[in-house]
Amino acid sequence: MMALLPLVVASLGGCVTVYQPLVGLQRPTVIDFQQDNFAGQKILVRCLPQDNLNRNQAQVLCRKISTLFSNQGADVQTLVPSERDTGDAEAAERLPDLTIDTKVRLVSEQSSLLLGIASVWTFTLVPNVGEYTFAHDVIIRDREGFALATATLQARFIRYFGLGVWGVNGLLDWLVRSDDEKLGGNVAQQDFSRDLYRQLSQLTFTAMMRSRVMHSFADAPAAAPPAKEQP
Amino acid sequence: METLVFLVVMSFVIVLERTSDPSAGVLRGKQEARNLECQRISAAEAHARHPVQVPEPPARATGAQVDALDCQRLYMREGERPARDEMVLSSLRRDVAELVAAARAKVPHEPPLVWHVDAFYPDQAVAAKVAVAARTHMAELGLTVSDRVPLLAAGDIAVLGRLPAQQSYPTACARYVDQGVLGDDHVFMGLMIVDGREGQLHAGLCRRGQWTWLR
Repeated sequence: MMALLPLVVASLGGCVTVYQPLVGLQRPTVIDFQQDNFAGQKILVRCLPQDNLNRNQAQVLCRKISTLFSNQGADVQTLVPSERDTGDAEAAERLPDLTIDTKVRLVSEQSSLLLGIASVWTFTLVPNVGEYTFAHDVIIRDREGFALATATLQARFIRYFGLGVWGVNGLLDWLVRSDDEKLGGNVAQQDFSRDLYRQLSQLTFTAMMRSRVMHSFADAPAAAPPAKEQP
Repeated sequence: METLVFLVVMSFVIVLERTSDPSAGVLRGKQEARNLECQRISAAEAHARHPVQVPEPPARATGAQVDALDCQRLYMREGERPARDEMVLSSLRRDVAELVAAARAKVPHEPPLVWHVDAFYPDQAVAAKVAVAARTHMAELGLTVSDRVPLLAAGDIAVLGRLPAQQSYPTACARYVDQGVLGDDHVFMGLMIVDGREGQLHAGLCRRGQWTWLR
């Protein structure tokens, strides 16, 4: 009976995941990623599979990033390199204006066996707590392979599992917290996606502008919006 | 009854144990958590930074690798100043150092030149901070820096203000020389944002009527 309890709790949604932005993810941004910020740009997104990101997950990540930039007017190619298709990767690398390399790695994983046992013994009234910190390494290069921008974006996820914590959190979300402060449901995923997308957009825009400046605006569109204060 | 009390006490112990956690939770809101800048560091590094709070890790640790979360409160809370100002000012020292180094590499060291610096930014107060930071850094490097900012006639400024950035700065540079504002032994460095959607400073150099973009 007790062994089935976690399943019962899980079926009731007894899991609360809290997202905390660490390095880079909570920095301010000015770009609106719902505008045509990359119109006419050819962007190649390469998602490199790692120990903690298998090929399928890398393809999903690439697809989501591709949609992000397509929605901003870019012509996006995606690539999940493997040992066999390195030639294709090299060929594709020559074509785009910008190449975005992304890698995801697990920085830290923590959980307590004692807490897990206590959680089972107390019918999950004592919550089981596990936490994971992921780092998203991003390098953006220009056509010649020059690194224009690099960043490491770290996110921490704390997963509370238990009927008590789920109930208390649900009550707080319902009675006390404003919409911006709610923690239940898939808020963690939404908050993380929003932070990641705006940071990726800002970083890529910075890289694009840096590339234009370094090439003395040779490939800039004719109607680049000027800054408000100029000489 | 005793069992219920035990369970409740255990739950409170867990909740209290989590109060030092910087993430959002029962006692800390999401906005408050976002005003902390945290990074994961090793236990040894954590001890070096905070020797009182973090005990020294054993020299020959054989168990699982232990790390720590090091958090610092942001100087400016989220939303206290405009996002672009925050982006520019939070990395101003590093950016200015990089841009000045790039500028120095572009001009010969002999004969000694007089440097003029100005910043072009939508907010005048931030522009002044950027310009002062660059002048101060140059002075610290031993360069001859002038407080004077080269100025153009009102008609020039009216025309230049309508041009895109890629044309306005080179044109302004040519006008500086045409009007005798900048001599051969003077060099002008401009720091600016080129597009309103970025929070990254660019820079260019004007010498003998030639404008060179640096970054």
